[in-house]
Parts: sequence; structure tokens; C-alpha cells
Amino acid sequence: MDRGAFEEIDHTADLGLDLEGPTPEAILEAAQRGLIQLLLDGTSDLAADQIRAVAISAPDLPELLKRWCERVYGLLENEGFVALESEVESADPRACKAILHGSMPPRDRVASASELKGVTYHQLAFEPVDDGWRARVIFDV
Amino acid sequence: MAHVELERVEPYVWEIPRRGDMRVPGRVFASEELMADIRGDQSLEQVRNVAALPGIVGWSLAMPDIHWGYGFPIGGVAATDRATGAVSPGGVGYDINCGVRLARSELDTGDLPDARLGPLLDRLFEAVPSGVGASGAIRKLGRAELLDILRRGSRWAVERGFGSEADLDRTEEGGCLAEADPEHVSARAMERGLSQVGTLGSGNHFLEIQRVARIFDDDCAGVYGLAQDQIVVMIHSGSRGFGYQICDDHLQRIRPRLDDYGYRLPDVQLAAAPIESAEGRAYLGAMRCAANYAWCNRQVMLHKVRETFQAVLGIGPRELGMGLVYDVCHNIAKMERHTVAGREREVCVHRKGATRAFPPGHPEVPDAYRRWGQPILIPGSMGNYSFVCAGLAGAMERTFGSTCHGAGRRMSRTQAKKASRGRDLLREMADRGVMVRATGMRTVAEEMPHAYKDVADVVEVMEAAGVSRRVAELRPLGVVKG
Repeated sequence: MDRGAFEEIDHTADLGLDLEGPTPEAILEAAQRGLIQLLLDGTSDLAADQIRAVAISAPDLPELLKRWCERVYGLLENEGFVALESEVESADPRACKAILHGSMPPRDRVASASELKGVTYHQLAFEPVDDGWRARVIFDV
Repeated sequence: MAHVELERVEPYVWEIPRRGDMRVPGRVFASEELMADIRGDQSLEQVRNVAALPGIVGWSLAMPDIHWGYGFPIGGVAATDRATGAVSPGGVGYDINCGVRLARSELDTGDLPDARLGPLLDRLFEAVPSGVGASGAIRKLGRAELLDILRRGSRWAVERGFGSEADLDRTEEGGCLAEADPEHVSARAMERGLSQVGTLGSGNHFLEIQRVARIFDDDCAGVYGLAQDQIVVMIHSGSRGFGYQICDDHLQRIRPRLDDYGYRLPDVQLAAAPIESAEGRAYLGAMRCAANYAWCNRQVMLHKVRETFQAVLGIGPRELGMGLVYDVCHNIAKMERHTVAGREREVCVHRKGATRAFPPGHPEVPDAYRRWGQPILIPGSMGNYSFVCAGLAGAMERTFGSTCHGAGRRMSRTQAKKASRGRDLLREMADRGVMVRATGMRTVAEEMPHAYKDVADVVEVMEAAGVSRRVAELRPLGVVKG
């Protein structure tokens, strides 16, 4: 299946992602990969030997994207869990379910990550387009 | 990028004329050189958008270190009428009460050669946790203790031996905003706050050992406790995950209600509620909790710094003499009395990346400093100079008692990392005479001096505009970063 893709947004003070994909699920998966890339340098040496189940809901897709990113970051901040890949079973905002595959590297590896203050509503978007889906999310760092 | 009409009304003041949905004009404090940078992103458009806030009075203001934020620009100041105006969480920012604390000492540069500075920095790096997920500076708090911090701020720390009463006198608001209301703090925010007291954070937060490199006003510097070549310590940090969560929680609560308030805002991130609405009061109550958390945070960190200096240098507190010069915030919303169109009124002053700058004689300036004006602490970029300034009467007339807060970014993090590629950043810092202890090189690359404007240019603009004046220049010797 076609994976979603992400591109970093250049922003003076903050970080952001432009996302595109064939399905809403692919968008969320791309957001997870993009977020981790924004926060941590070079994770190719980490083995995805841990999993976390995610079940979240939101009133709409943009809010779902926000909460998804908050969950991925929250696992990093609170548990030191680095999500390396994700399988989103359903991106239905009423009941989004996913599995995160990741790693628990040493504490100093996590500490060196960029710190997120928030997943902002600034230009937050998640919508269908002619050939799939696109989204944008900006993070306050 | 939308064109924003600008008119230069004074050498260092530019006005955005009131047009369309703007309720007041915009005013930008900048030199011609800094304005060229400012025009490079969307910050002027944001100044214009802020001018549409309900109840805004005077001007939508921008300091010379302004850059693009979300909703409000960073470096923005806006005052809204207490009775009829709005409060906007975006006008404070995620890092509620991000601020700066400066402590002086009895040491001078001769007391800290590199052979002592290195081990001191190593121990500070351990004693003051930094980086993502940092915790453990003090034991994990219980819920009741955290509630006490939210209501009492720095005083909680002082009563437990993390400092003294003298520290409270030299902290904005005595280290505690009244009317903090933990009822409006979410369980998630409480969870994030339990283990982060006394931690530095990451990004542009830092702890620096500095020397007083230059004094512009001997008398004022003397009153502030500063002397040439003296060793001082500067801490830049805020309310950590606790404050970030509060901002997000209340943005979520306020955003869906805009139609109910009859608000039409040009940018959703400007989401605002009437100050006197349930949502407005709830946000302010929670924001004050975050402000108090941040003051307590910086108070505990200073205590850790004092302990570490004493332990590493083998000296006691009297010989160290590490007294607090001042602690001031630069992300906050406060009820203050200001004169608007010739009439004194109570307004809600939003400072997002802007520092309070009260002049000589103001009753809220500590007694010891009142003749000279409130100390203003302006950090520069990593490895670069910082400034201690003093408030001037012009601040009350022109900027609701506010001035700049720092260097302001001129380069995105992506650009900064690209520009840093292939360079030995720690060697470059060492060549500047600065030792660095950091959790990782990513942050160092993002925070290199070339990513920022020159803070000297920024403070000079505010001096030329009669808002604040330089008292001392500080240069770093060692930096701890998350």
C-alpha cells in the first residue's frame, strides 16, 4: 500500500509538517514518522521491540491529528518510548485505533530530543483532496 | 505573504494604520535594519490581526525582537479593557511565565578559571535536570503539595528551605500571582507537573554562568548589586509541561465558543474569551497557577545552583553571596492600571515574548530599586551577551510598561541546523570562551548565535525609544542546555 509522506515546514520559531497520503490512516502514520524525525536525530539504530496500543477520539479529523501527535509525543516525554512505526487500524475520529512499534532507548537519548510545548491549532488542517488526503500541523517548541 | 501597510512615525517606531477589522493601529519598535528581518515572515500580519481583539486599547504592539508565532507574534504586547475586553491564551503562549532569573555573587572571574569552571558546569548539569522528560530535581510531589505550589508559588519553595524571603522581594509579584485557581487545572496538567519542579527544560531554555562585562550606569548597577567582572548566574525557564498543558486545555475550551461571544477573529489561534466570562476567568485562574509553578521552578533551580557552587568551590553561603538580582517573566497576562487616552483604567496586559519594564517610582518596583526602575533581564542567544536594563517612564506612555525579551530568532530551526552542518559547534563556542554542557547537539545547532538577531540591536532600539535603558552587559562563561 502507498505510504503517506511528510515534509518539514520551515518556520522561524517552531516546527511543522505537511502531510499527504492515500488514506487518513496513511496521514496519521506519516505524522508519527515525521514527528519523530523532527524531534530526534537518526533513529535507524533503534530496534522496534516494544509496542503501545493507542485508542483516541476527537470531534473531527484536524483535532484527531492534533491528539495523535500529542499521544506520540506524550509517550516519548513520559515513558521514554520512541515510536518508530505505526499501524493505524482506523482513523475514524470517533474511534481511532492504532499500534505503535517503538523502542525504549537510554534516558539521555530521549533527553536530547527537541521538546514540544504544544501541538498548535495554527494552520491545522486534515482534509480530502483530489488524489488522496493532505494535512498540516505546526508544533510550538 | 500578505502586504502590510507600514508608516514610519518616529526613527524607531513604525505604525500599521488602522484598517478593516483593526480596532486600534499597530506599532512596531524597530530600527531599519531589524525591520528588514521583521518583514521576512508573517509577524507584521500577526500584529495587524491582534489589533482586531475585542476590547484592545492603545495599539497592538511589537518589540524589535518580534518573530512569527501562532496567533500572536512572539514579541507582542496587547492590552484589553478589563470590563469589556478579551483574554487570549495565545497572547501569553504555551510556556506560561517563561522568564529569566539573575543572581549575583561575591565571586569574580579570577575565582573561576577554566579548571574550576569545567567541574562546576558538570555538577550543575547533574543538579539541574534538563532535556525532554527531565524530572527528579526534587522528590516527586504529592497532589496536595502541587496544589500548594499553584496557590503560593515561590513561597512554597522558600518555606521548605529552597532560598529566603529576600528572594521573594526580588521576584516579580513576589513570586506569586493572586487568584490562582487550581479548580481549572486539568488532571493531565497536574500529572505533568508533579515531577518537573526544579527542571530546566530544553530548546532555548538555559542556565548560564556569566561575567559582568560592561557597565553602562555605575550607580544603578551598584544598587542592583552588579560590579565589573563579577560572576553572575542567569536562568531562563518556565512552567514546563504543566504550563503547556494549561494553555492547550483552555484553547480547546475557548475555541468552540467564539460564535457565542460574537467574536470574529482573523486567526483561530487568537482564540479569546471575554475576561469576565466563565471561560475567561477559568483561563486566568489556571494561567496564574502556571505562573506560580514557574516561579517556584526557578526558585528551586536557584537553590540548586547555590548548593552546587558551594559544594564544588568549597565555600559557604556568605562567601558565595549569591543573592537574587531579579526574576521577571516574559509570557504572561496581568491586570494592571495604565493611562489610556488620558484616563487611568484597568487593563489585561498580554506579554508574549515581552518583559515588564516599570520605571523609577512605580510602586511595584522593589523598595531597594524604586529610585532606579525595575531590573529587566534580556538574554541574548547562546554564547552571546545578555543585558540587564532598567525601565523608563516612556514604557508606561508607549508600551503598557513593556519592553523586549531577547534576541528573537531570525532563522528557522531547520535553517539553523543546515547552517551548522559540518561545523564543530562546541569548538566554536570554546573559541568564544564559552563552555557548553548539553543533553545533545541538536539543540546546540538550533540555538547557535547565527540563528538569532543581535540582542544589542534590540535593546538599543528600546533605549532610543525611551522605554528601557542598558545598565550592564553580561557575557557567558559556561552554558547548561537541555
